[in-house]
Amino acid sequence: MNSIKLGNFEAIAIIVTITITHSILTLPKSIMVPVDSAALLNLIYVSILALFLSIIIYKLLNNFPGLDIIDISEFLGGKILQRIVGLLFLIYVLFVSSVLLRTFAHCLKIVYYPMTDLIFILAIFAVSIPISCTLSSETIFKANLIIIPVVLLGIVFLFIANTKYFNFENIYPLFGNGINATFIKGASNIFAFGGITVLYLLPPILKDKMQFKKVSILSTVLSSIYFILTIATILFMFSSVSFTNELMPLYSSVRYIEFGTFFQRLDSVFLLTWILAFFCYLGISFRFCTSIYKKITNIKSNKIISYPLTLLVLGLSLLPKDESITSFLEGTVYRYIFLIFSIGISLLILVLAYLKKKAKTIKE
Amino acid sequence: MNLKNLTKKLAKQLFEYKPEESYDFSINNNKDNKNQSIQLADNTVKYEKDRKNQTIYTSLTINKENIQSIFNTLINSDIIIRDFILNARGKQYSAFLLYIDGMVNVNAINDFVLESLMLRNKANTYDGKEERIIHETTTNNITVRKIKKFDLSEYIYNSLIPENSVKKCTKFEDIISGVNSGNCALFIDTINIAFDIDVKGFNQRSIEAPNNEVIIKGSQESFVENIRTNTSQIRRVINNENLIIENLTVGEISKTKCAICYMQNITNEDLVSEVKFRINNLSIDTLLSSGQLEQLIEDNSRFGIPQILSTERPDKCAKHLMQGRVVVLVNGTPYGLIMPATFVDYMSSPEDTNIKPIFSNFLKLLRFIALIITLLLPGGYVAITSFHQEILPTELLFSILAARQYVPFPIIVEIVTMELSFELIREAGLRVPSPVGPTIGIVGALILGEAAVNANIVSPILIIVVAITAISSFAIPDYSFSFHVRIYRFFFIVLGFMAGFLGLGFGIFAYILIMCSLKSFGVPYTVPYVPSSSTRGHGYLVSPIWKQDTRADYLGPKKEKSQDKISMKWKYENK
Repeated sequence: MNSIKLGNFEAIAIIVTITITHSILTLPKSIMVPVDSAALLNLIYVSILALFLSIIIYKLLNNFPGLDIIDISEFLGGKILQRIVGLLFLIYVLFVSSVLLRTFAHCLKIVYYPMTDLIFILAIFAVSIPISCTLSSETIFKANLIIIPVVLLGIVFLFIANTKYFNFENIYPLFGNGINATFIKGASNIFAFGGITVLYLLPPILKDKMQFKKVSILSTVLSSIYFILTIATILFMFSSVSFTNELMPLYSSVRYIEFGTFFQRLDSVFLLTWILAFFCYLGISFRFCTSIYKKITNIKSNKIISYPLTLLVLGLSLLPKDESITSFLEGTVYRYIFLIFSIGISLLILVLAYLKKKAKTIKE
Repeated sequence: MNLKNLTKKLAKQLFEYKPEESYDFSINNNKDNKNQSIQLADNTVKYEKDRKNQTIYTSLTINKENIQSIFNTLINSDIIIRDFILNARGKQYSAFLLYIDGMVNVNAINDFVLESLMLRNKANTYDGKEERIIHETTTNNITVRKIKKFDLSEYIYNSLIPENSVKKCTKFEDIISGVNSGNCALFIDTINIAFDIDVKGFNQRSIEAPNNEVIIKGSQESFVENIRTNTSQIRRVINNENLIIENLTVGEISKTKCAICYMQNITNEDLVSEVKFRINNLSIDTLLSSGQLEQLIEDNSRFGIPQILSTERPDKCAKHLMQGRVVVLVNGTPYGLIMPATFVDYMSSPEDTNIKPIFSNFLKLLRFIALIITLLLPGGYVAITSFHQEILPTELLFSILAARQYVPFPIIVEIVTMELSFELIREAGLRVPSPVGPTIGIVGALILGEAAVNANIVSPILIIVVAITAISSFAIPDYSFSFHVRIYRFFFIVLGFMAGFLGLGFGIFAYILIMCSLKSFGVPYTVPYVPSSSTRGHGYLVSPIWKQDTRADYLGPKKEKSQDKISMKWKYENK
């Protein structure tokens, strides 16, 4: 992975991709249900929090130029801590990928392939992983940079095309389920910005290390704009009662788009762009997985490891017995894992490493 | 006929030996024999190599025997050895001329080689002193003279061969190479030097209008098979001494001449070195065409996507040379190879810069749509009709269903059959003699298509899909690029049939991945977009000519500026 050198746009696109992938599934529902009509207000608030978080991560990582959190944990606690942190990141990425894969495959099955076996849909996604891992290192990031603008333009188009169905009164009551639910409990909605976790692994692969600040801030801002457009579209179109029943709220809003009598159902086209984004997401996740694995095990090439990891994710995604478990894993478990792991543990490691470095400097 | 004779005849027919009447020939493929013959061939090659590496002898007889042996003159009918007596300074020397009939200009040999060497004239009858004083100084009554001794080879070279291109060779190898390329060799008794005289004169095709890259506004000249004519065509367009044309030979046996062309003051040196490195490190027997060289030097040939531009237009080569690219010409092929090449280059036509940007951009957008249609329309049709019928308006869906009502085959069989039939018609149209070509098209496209619809083998809507796909494939300017799209569309058909838009999504993702993984001589295939670099004048869309003031930064040119920031000085600076 360290041989990869990413430009600013490629790095920003990675974080936006992760945001998009979450948003096309049940994430909007998970954000909106606890805060109800205050979803937009909550999202603006959470976006500000995410921006602060990304700045803090940048500031802490900036003390160790060119090192990611795994290298920093080695500095803090030696090889043992490095391997523990690496393993935790690996488990985190594999868990999120398998849950999202299962949810997306299930949604596709319901919408378009009711007669198809779930494993067949999962297998198509799984096949894409080794392809993206075996091609040259930077390929998946380049491909992502081509696909993501299309998806982003799609969401702008979706917002504009659905304006005629908007009911702006849906934002009332302004504070939804109350100020406490919107700003105190609602702060946990920061898990929507799961892409921020990538910031911990980004510094060594950036072409221009000085641009890390720009990448951190711009990616969070872009993700926020994307989320605001998504949530605004859903909030203005559906009442809070109806969106709680939707499996993919964003998909439901796409079905309303029509131009004259000819273009009445463009949902398949949108789904095609989301499928592309999801392929990119899997490719990126596995690129990080294999590089983390390489780092903690010192294997020579990380290409071959993509095959067993793919099988592992395929197996994990088949584990949940029904969709209620997947939904729980995606909406609740992922929320707390993000809060504990991405914010709690990771920040703690960075703070402790910073203190150790400071103490070392004073000593010298 | 009596009984005895009858019995005799019968017995003769029955018992007489009859030789085998059927004729059977087969190449002996016995492994032992094969090994023996391979060893023999290896020994012969080694022997030939040793003999060619020999230096030229002073004895004319030995030289002649050597040449006769190397060229197999006893069985080779077009190798001519002409013995004669050479006159030089009033003395006579035995000599012979070696050339290949049909490859030389006979008049040039007669008038400027044989006549001047054989006939007695002022030059060769001059009987001056054998030693020539070059310099003389006298100091203290002592005269110091610098004397040059008479040198026959120098004399012949300087005074007796009135030809513009004559080389003195000391090795048989050099002489043989020259003779094989259409020169004649002069061997003279008593000197261990032979002369390689350029008297090439074989018939060649004249410069014609391009056949495959036809444009309306622009030059109407194309390359020919002769490498020197091609280099001169490029030089005529560029008109600058910084254009370097280096010659290399490729092929152990064929010794095919290749010319590497680049602008010394523009092209990145690393790029030139890389091109030379790849061409110099080819271990092949024969190089017959630029297509072969393209396959041998491109970065990645796994996916079938071309990474080197091939063109028959000197003006296109000149344009790319001025941008800082390298052009390689191969003797015997009317195509030039331009490297590196990116996706944007394959979608550009030489005409784009000759017409107003608004027109060329319209055409470029059309070409991009054509690319998407060629790649995705058949697969998309299969995906929509099999999985995503809701995307179609109800009326259109009904008409498609009605059209397919009597078709007995599944959609995949229907479309693959039609696409293969179309490819068959295209291939047959190319291979048949040109007067029959249009007939094939008419028979294939009109009669067979109409008949297939009437017979309910295919639906009319499918004919429309296949026809639009075919027309779109012709709109892609580059033949090789268009070819790979034609092949890839079959994968998309299968993927669309297997999993609808999910399958197509997989295909598109894999295709984009492949494109992003490719590099052409170190330049990513998808520049200037991914990785992003300046698109000013080098993006997919054509900028106005006054805006094209820099060269593409991904080529790392020595000279970045291609024109002044304000190129139209008449308009802006005089006011």
